[in-house]
Parts: sequence; C-alpha cells; structure tokens
Amino acid sequence: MLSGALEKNVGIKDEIHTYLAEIQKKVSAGKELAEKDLEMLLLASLIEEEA
Amino acid sequence: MSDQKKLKIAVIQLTRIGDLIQTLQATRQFRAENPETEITLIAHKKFASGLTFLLETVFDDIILIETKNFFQGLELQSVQRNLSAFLSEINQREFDVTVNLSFSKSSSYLNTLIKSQLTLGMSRNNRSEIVINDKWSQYVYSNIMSSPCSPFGLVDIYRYIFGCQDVHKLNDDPERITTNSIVLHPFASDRKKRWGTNRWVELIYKLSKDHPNYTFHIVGAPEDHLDAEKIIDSPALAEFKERVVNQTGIFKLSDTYQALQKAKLFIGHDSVVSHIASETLTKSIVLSLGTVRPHETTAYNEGVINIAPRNKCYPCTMSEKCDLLPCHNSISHQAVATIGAGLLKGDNISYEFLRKNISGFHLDSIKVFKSEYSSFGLNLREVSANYDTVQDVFKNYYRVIWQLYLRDHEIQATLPDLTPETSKELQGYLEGINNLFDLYNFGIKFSNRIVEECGKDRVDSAVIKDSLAKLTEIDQLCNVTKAAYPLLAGLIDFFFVHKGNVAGDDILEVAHANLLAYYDASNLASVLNEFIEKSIGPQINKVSNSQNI
Repeated sequence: MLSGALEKNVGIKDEIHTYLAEIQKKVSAGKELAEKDLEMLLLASLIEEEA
Repeated sequence: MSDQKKLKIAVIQLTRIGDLIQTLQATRQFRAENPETEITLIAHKKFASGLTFLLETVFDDIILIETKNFFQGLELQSVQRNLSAFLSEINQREFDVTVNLSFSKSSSYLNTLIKSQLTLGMSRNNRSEIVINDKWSQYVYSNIMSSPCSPFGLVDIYRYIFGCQDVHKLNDDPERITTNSIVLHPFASDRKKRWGTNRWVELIYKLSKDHPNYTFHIVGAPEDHLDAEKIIDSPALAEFKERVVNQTGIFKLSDTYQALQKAKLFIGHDSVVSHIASETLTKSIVLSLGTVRPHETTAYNEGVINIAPRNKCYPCTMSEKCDLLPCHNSISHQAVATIGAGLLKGDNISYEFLRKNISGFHLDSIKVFKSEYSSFGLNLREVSANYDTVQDVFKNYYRVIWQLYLRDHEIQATLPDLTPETSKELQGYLEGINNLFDLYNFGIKFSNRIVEECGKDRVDSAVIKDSLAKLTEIDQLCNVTKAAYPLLAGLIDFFFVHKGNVAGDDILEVAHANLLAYYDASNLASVLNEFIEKSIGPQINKVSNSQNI
C-alpha cells in the first residue's frame, strides 16, 4: 500500500533519496546530525521495513 | 499515589505479532512488581490491531504507527510535518523511560527521537551510530540469533531489561471448560520454519484415527487458507474430513484465543499462535525447524513440549539457502502424535515416557525439550537424552555466568555428567579459553597504558596510538579465537558489543570504561576455565584410574 502511494508520487521518492544522500555526506564528514535528519532516517527505515 | 507521580514508560515494539505477545508477557510481569507505572506501547498498526484485546489488559495506552498515514500530502515537506506532529504528540506525554525491545532500524531512530530521562534498548547517537546503553540489550544484540549457546528466552530477557526480579506466572482458571478439540497451526512466516503439507496430513490422519472423539481446528492468516484446504482435501484425510475445520481467514486472533482456551491441545510451529497458546495456558507441542532457536523463542508457559531436529546444520541462519530441508525429515509425525496422545492423557513427558513409547528410529533424530519455571525464568530442559552435549554444557555455563554478571542472580548448578566424548571436546576448549584470558589481560594492559598516559602532564600521543592499535589487534585475535572455538562466541561477542558502547566523553573516560570491561571479560573467561576444569575433572580421574588398573 505504501509503495503504491510512493509510486504515485515519484517526486517525494526522489526528494527522500536526495535528502538521504545529504545525510550520508554529513555522516561521512563527521558532522553531527540534526533532529530533522534523524526524523528523515526514521521515515526512510519505516519505508524500508514496510517493503 | 497520584497519577502525576507514576513513572511513565514507553515500550517500543515494532516487529511482528509474536514479538508483541512476548513483549506483553514481560511487561505484565514488570507491572506485577511495579504497579505504580503508566506504560504505553508503541507498535505497528498492522501487527498490533488484531491483538488489542490482549494488549489492553497490560498496557495503559497503545500508540499505533501506520507509515502510509504520514504520506497524506503531495510534498516531502508535508510528510515531514506529519511525522514531526506524530513525534511531538508522543513527546507531549513526557515519558520518563523508553524501552525499545524490537532491535529494528526504525525502532532505534524512534527510540532516539522520543525524549526521556532513561533510554533502554537500541537507539542512535547524533552521527546515526547504534548505541545500546544497557547490558541486557547488548546481550540481545550480540547473542540472540547468533550465539550457538544462548540459554535465555526473549520474554525473560525483556524482563531483565525492565529490571524485573521475579517470575510471575499466569494462573489457570479452575472453572475453565474444555472440549475435545485440538488447535493446529501448520504455517510459519518462512518455508524453512514450516513442516511440509504432507507431514501435517500424516499427523492429522494419525491423530484423527487415534482420537475419534476429537475435532481439529486449523488456524492461520487469510493467506494460509488455500494451504489449509490442501491439507484437508488430501485423499488421506477423506474419512476424517468432517472433523477437520479450516478456520484460516475466518478466525480473528481473538477467535483463535477463544478456540485455544477451549482446546485440550495445541500443535504448531514456533509462531504467533504458539505464543497465544501460552497465554491461554493450553498444553502445547511446538515444532522448531530451520532458523528457530527453541531456547530463545519457545512459548512462555510451563510444560510446553518443544521438538527440534538433531541435525548438525540446525539451527541455520536466515541467509543460508537450503532446498532439501533435511531438518524437516528428522521430526516424524509418529513422534509428534505419540507425545500429543501422552499430553491428552495427562502423562508426564519424560525420558522414560519417550523411550517406552517412541521407537529409537524416530527418537534418535530429535531433541524433545520441556519447559519449566526456575528462579531466573523459563527453562527448556531436554527430556530426550540423559547426557549433555558440549553445547548443552556451555549453555549451562553461560546461564550461570550471565545471571551472576548481568543480574547479580546466583544459580545453583551441579556439575554435568559427561560422556567421554563431551569431556574430550570440553578439554579442547581449555586452550581457547586460555587464549581468550590472555587476550583480555592484554586488553587490561593496553587500556591501562592509555589511562596512565592520559593522566600525565605531557601526553605522548604515540603511546596512545600504539595502545589503540594493540587493542584493535586484540579484537581481531578474539575473532580468530571465536572461529576456532565457536562456543566461546557468546562471551567474545558480548564484550565486543559492550566495549563498543561504553560511556565516556573523552579518550580517558572511554579507556577507563574499557579497562573495566576487560577486567570483567577476563574474570568471566577465568570462571569458564574453572567450570571446564571442574567438569572434566571426574572424567580425567576415571581415565587415569582405569589406566592405573
């Protein structure tokens, strides 16, 4: 059901991927993540586990 | 005590229905010891919604997560807003403690984002790295589903994470009325864990023939309906068809609960229904196959019979591919039916019962365990053999050392009665334990060197770098030892995870905490060494006496 919702809105899917790539850059650079970054990681993991 | 003074606890359990029931069983025991608490469960709607009739008996409140609800808008910003609103609603409850019992990625982030004074279970730091503060959760992370000798069930480990002291059993209703029915759950989430359709047909045929007054209820999820029909429509069951009822897709979990309350026996795989049967205190036979580890996940009730194959490859891991499923052939329907008949008659399923009623041909390929309560929780005792294998011996050692080290709980254990083969295998482990003991003592030495160097007025960074390199080398050598002596994995993996999670804001604090961890590891290695020496002592004496003769 969720993947269906995401398929319909490819824009959100792309935005999430872009955001996650930015988080990955921050992590690689040893920077601290903000709360909204952790929220995005929560969202991504919920989607991942739903699949 | 007023509501304001109650300790507010959020319990996160985002995994499947079976895990939710085990969480409920642990939380109920914690509540029995701590009535002045307000406990909220946070779970996935798809797993928890069918189980609310049970969950509401223990939790004050249940927060259900439905991921698709966050995706109401068309832009990412609105998704983020929905999620933030959800989190801030949770945080308005001002929890004192969060306990994450699910060990999934999402649960670790959720555990981090819920504000509380104490965080138990897996969470994340602000670099997204895994953090596990409490030792029992470190134990789960390092030992469950990986160590060959983990002696504890998940319900008890959850109790330990909560800090629960005693075992609080459910009491059976003396006025409970049962009917001549047997509930069967021939399904599981994974092919490896599930006995084949033909086996179930053979079992139902034998049970139907031997117990002509009984009806059989096959329960399961809607997606199991066709498979259940396949079983019932088998030509072998033609004459018994009217007594076998397909309840899959018709019964809700609450209906299954009621059917189990009335049933005289449950037979099924290690899955959600076996956990519900432990809630209704129904006599049960649980079949453990594939990746299932009976000691970790057996139904939490006294007298449960758990049958597992004796194959060397059992239990396997999720990632291992297996087409032939040899462990499925090890459990015969005759053995299951005989034990079922014994349970229905009220027989004590003991070593003597098994030897008397099941042929060696069927018995030698299985391990039959029986659950019983002890001071530390539910214990699975093998009743199909009167000797201990080297794994059994290590399981007993680990039970004693972890209870003492992690819970300060002393277990009275007797020395195992060893066969010469087991004694020889144990003797072989002495070298591994001694290696490990030496490695941990080197760990003490190099951690100490860092602590001493950090205390000097002029710190020599080369000394610190060199010591850190040595500590990395020690970790690598511990892994080499683990590969050569796999039964030491429980100890090695725990201290690896424990050291990775020690508290400290600077190198001195971390080195100091590491030093203590190495001291503990070295002590436990020395205790294991002593256990082995004492266990094999009588055997060595026997051998030397016979040589003298």
